[in-house]
Amino acid sequence: MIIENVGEIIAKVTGVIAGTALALVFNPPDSRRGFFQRSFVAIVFGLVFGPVFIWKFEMPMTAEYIVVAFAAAAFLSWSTLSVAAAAVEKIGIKKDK
Amino acid sequence: MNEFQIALLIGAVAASLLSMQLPRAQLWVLTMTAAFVFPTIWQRADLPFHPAFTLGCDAGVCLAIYFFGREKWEVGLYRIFQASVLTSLLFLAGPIEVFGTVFLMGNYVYVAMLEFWNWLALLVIGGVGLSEILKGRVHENSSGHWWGADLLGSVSAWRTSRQAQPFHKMSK
Repeated sequence: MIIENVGEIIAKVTGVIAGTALALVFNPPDSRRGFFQRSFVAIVFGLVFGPVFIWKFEMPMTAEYIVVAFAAAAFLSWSTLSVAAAAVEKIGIKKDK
Repeated sequence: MNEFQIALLIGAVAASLLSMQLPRAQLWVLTMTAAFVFPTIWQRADLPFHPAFTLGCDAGVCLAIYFFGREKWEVGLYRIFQASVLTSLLFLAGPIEVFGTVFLMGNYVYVAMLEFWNWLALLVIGGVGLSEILKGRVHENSSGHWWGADLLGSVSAWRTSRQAQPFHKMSK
């Protein structure tokens, strides 16, 4: 039972790290602060919304699907934060003009 | 090894020879070769999750170029490897349905696209190296206007430093 749980935790952590690394590849931040903010959000939201992905897409609870679900959640959290930051910056520039 | 893999390795050697005067180009060729050889060995050994391993290797190259690249042509390489990572990601995703139409990347298309991105990266490296060699020759015997000088001028713009620096080099 304990070994099963450890396996599940490893799969979740692997998924979140993979999702965060992939998001960094496609959407790198502009500053160190941005990197830490996005990483924190991706890890927390990845862990929170990973099970939602599994439930929503009716994925079986195998290691592969857990990794995929948690990676997708982390990737989407990072990307959403990047898009939101870019939108806020754009609005700020427009207001300054 | 099949003929495509041998051709790619010959291409890597050619690009490396052309860019002898660019140490970082040598480094990227070496990194790219590693990112090509290790997934090939992985696949030959019949180990599981081959596309995921390829994706991981390409993502590693991508991040290495992002963190240590200094010039515009390296940003170009970074974009090419982003495309390679995206290709592996789409293959891993399986069938994707968009407005009732199902898109599925076959194994042949996947391998061909990866080959294409690798060749494009080698072309960029080899091209920059070749332009450096030609530039040196043009400067040595510069008499009158040469048609290739304009082309070399535009290629040498790739050797200027990149605009967006990696986040760890930013002050904030």
